[in-house]
Amino acid sequence: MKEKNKRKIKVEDRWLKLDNAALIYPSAQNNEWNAVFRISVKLKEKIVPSILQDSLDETLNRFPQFNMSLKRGIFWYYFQNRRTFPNVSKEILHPCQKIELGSYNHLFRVLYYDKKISFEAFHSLTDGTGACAFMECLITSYLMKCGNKLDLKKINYSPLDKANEEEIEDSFIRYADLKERSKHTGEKAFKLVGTKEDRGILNVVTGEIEVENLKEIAKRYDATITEFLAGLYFKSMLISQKDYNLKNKPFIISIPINLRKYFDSKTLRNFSNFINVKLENKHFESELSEIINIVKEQMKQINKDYLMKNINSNVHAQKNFFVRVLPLWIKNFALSFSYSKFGENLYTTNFSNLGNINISDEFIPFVDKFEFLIGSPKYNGVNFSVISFNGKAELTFTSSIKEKKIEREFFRLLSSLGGKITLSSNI
Amino acid sequence: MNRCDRCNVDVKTSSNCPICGRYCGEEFTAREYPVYTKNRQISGFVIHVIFWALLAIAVTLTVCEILFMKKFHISLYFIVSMLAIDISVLLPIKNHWSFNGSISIVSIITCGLIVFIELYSKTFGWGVYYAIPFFVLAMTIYCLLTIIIKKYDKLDCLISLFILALISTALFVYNLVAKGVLWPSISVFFTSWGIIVTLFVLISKRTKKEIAKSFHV
Repeated sequence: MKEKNKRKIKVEDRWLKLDNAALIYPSAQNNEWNAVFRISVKLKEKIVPSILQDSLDETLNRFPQFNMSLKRGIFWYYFQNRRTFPNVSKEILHPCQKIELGSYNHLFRVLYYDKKISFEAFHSLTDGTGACAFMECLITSYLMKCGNKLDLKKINYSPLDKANEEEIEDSFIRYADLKERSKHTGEKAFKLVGTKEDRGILNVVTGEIEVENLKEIAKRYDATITEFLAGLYFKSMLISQKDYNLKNKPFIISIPINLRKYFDSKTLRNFSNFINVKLENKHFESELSEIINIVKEQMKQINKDYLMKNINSNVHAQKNFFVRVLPLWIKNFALSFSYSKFGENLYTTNFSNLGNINISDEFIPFVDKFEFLIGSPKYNGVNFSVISFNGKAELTFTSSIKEKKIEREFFRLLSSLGGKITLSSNI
Repeated sequence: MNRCDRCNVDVKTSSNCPICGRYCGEEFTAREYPVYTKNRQISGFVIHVIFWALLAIAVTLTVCEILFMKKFHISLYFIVSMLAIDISVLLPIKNHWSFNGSISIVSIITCGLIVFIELYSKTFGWGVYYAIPFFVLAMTIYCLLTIIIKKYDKLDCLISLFILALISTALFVYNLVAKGVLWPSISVFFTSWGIIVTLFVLISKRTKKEIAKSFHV
């Protein structure tokens, strides 16, 4: 998707260093893949592209840190602000296509289709929380330009607010005290088996369920929604993959943790960490309740100390003098190698729960639902993501494999437990 | 809304259940995703075709020369030229290299190719004295015109201009020592360094900041 007819704007020259979590993504990319995710909002009225374009321009004035391109330095990549605004475009391709990272390309795209607006971003630019903030501002601007009245005082990120420097900080650097560090250990995880789709094809299956319904089912297992869904995901993977040689490798789900819940930060750049929840072979025949208990046990270790050690470990590596003075092309080679060796190799799949989207109730009359999609991983086949709004949760599987066994088992299991699910898909 | 009895779920956007494929009826609402067009990367396909066509010609030429002429002459020119095209043209297009990277690699590879042809054909002189200086001059002027016409960032073109200036310096020094034809290399030497100095003067305020960006550790 090439950007054409970009409108020039007058801005001061501004550049930013990549935050700690953002460093890996440009190096890990290849010709066909980079880390892209999507937040979509489905409105109740059809989208008017010209108004959406004006809204995007206004939103970028509010969030100048998004109007960036990625440039190569001698030692590190950096963000350079753009002197043009991007155009919105009609959605014609599968979700989360690779975002080209040239000096003259933006690191996100805004797409529209029927009643839906989608914001797709390269993960170095922001994380789910940042994307939600951008989306809130974008739809506020859009709805107001469409003639709707919104109380801007109740909106977290209004287009009339001024850009805030605190939203641009690298909170990893701010909080890292470099005292205690976690030791990166991990074993190779089981890889999901399936027929690979052609490049650029991402299958999406979304199950809509009432949050109360989901909470009630999770409560039966004395678990949070995240713990319950992770347990259910393990179970559905085990059932769907039982015909394949499980090779004595554990199933591991990587779950992102929003660090803003533990460390006070207003940043809209990356500020998240991960926990890898593991299911050993000996538990492969376990019942769902036992699996959920295993997940709960492992989730208990998430606390401020645990996260601080992880932050310290990552920031320590970034601040190491010998790492810093290595030329970028050597770093690229090393980071790409470590991503394949210690990144996706150490988990089977990703499960990201953004939870109840933190936006104003002012949107309820205009917004049908939000969706959150994780793009195709580099090596692994399936991702699972959750977002909820106005009492409805959207459970979305994105997959680059043809078979739908995991999705099928997951939704059948959830349905057998009393979940009332409505499916939608791009298949 | 359709219902899949096998999966026990409602199906909103299609007549078939998306997870088991079973036909559920026609009572579905509008699609939530468009009917996709295929993302055809024509440039990638064309690059593949060119590469394999060149390779096929190179292999055929080599085999014919060995079989019928019992010597290895034209095919070597072709193989080296093919490599040069692959590295300096196909690779930058395929990997979306920047202007700087593309110009730099095209310049270095072309100069290398000219020297190879000179040496292999035992006609040394024409390249180093005339062809390379004029080629470097042309590339320098091309960079300058790109900055002026396309309004490229001056700093973005500085690295390629710097590499061209280095080549012109090497030529000038060689021709001076080897007592070759000096005027083409002198003119390109002064032109390229002159342009760089002028650009530095024009963007002196930004230079410090740009160095801070590019060299931040």
